[in-house]
Amino acid sequence: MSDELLVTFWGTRGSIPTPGRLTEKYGGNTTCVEVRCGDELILFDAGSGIRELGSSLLDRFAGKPVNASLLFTHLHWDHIQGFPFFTCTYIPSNKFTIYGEERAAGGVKELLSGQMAGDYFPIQISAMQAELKFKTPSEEFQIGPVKIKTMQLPHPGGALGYRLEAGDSVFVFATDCELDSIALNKDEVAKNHLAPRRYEPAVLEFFKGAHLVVIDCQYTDQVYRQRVGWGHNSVATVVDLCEQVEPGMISLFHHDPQSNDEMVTQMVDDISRRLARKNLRVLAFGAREGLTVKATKPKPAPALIAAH
Amino acid sequence: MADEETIFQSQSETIGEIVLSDFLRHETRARTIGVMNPLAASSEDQLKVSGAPVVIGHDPKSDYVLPDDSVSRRHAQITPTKTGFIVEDLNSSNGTYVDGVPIVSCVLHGGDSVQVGKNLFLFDHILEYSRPQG
Repeated sequence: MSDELLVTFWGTRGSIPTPGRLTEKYGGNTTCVEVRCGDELILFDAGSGIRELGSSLLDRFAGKPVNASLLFTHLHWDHIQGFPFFTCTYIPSNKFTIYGEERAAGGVKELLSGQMAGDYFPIQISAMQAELKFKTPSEEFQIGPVKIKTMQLPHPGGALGYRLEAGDSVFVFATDCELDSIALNKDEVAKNHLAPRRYEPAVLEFFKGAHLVVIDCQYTDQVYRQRVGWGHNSVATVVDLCEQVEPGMISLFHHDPQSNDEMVTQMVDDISRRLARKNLRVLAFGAREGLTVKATKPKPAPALIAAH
Repeated sequence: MADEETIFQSQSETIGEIVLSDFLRHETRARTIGVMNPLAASSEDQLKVSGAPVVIGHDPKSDYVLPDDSVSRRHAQITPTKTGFIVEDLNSSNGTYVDGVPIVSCVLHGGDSVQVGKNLFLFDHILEYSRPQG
C-alpha cells in the first residue's frame, strides 16, 4: 500500500550517543527516524543516527538523486550532531527541504552552520553541495500525500511534535517532552505520580487515533523523581497517555544514556503489564535501531503452535 | 584453540568473517552465522543463515520450509548484511513478529524472539570454525 507510513528507527538514544555492547539491541545513536510513504521520504532530526541513514540512502538510491524533507523537532545538540556526517548533503544532485523553528540563537540554517564553524568542525556547511532549502513549519502543512500537524511540546527551549496522516495510517512523533509539566492538575500529579493527568483537549486530540505513537519515555518513575524539569517523560506519564488516547502501538523513545538494553526492556515490560492491568489493547515496544514498522493498526500475533 | 593467537587479520567482506592463525601455521576460519532455534514450530530443524539470504515459507521450494497453514508460501526472509542479520516480512498473511512486534524488517540481535505465523524461534549468533584442507 503506497499510502502507508513506514517508520524506521536510525537513532533512538537521548542526550548523547551511547555505543557499546550493553546498548546494542536498542542502539546507541541519538535521534533520527525515517518515514516513507510511497516515494516520499520524510526524516526526523539529525542525531548521530543520520550517519547510518545516509549510508543506507546512498545504497538504496544507487546514484539516483535523493529528494527528502528533514523535519527538526528542536535543535538541541543530540538532534543535530549527526548533520555534518549526513553524506547525502554533500552530493550536488540531492535535494533536501529542512524544516525547523526559529530559536533565540537563530534559525535552523544558522544553528546547523554554527556547529560546523571552524572551531567545532573542519568542514563548513558551504561544502554541502546538495540543494538545501530551509523552511519554518506551520501548524499544518503537507508533504506529498502526507498531511502534517505540529504541536508545541513541553521541553526546555521548546520542541515540536509531529502528527503524520496518509490514507488510513496515522503516526505521531513526540520526542523530548515532559507532559506532566502541562497537566492541568500538575500539582496533584507532583504529589501522586500515578494520578490521572488532565490536559487541554488539543493535547489529547493531537495523539488520538494514532496507530503508532513514538514518545519520549526516558525515565522510570523512580528516576523521574530526580529529573523533574529536565524535559522528559516517565513510565507513569506514558501509561496515562495510553489510557486516554489508546494508540495502536506505543514506542518508547529517547532512551536514557544510563539505561542499558536490559533496563529498557524492563521499562517496556513494566508498561506492558500496566496497560494489561487496565485492559488496554496497546502494543508497547522499545524503539530500536534497524527496526521498520508500519503505522497501521497492529494485528495480534497468532497463537503459537504447540511445542514439540 | 587455547594456544592460538587471537585475531590479527581484518574482517573480510563476508559478515563477521575473521581469520585466525596458530603457531603451527594452520589457518582456521571463523565466521559469525545467524541461527534460528525453533521453540515452538512445525519444523524441528535449526535454521542457519550465513552467506546467502534464506527464505522461510510454506512452499516446499523455500530455503526453510514450515509446513503449516499459518505460514505464507514466501513468508519471511533473513539476509546477512554488513549491519547484521535482517529479517523481513514478505507481505505474509499472518505477519512476522520480533519480540512480539509486527515488523516490516528488523536487524536481529541475540536473544530476539522471531515469530513466523504460529511458529516461534529464538535468534542467536554463533561462531562457526573451519580449517581449510591441505
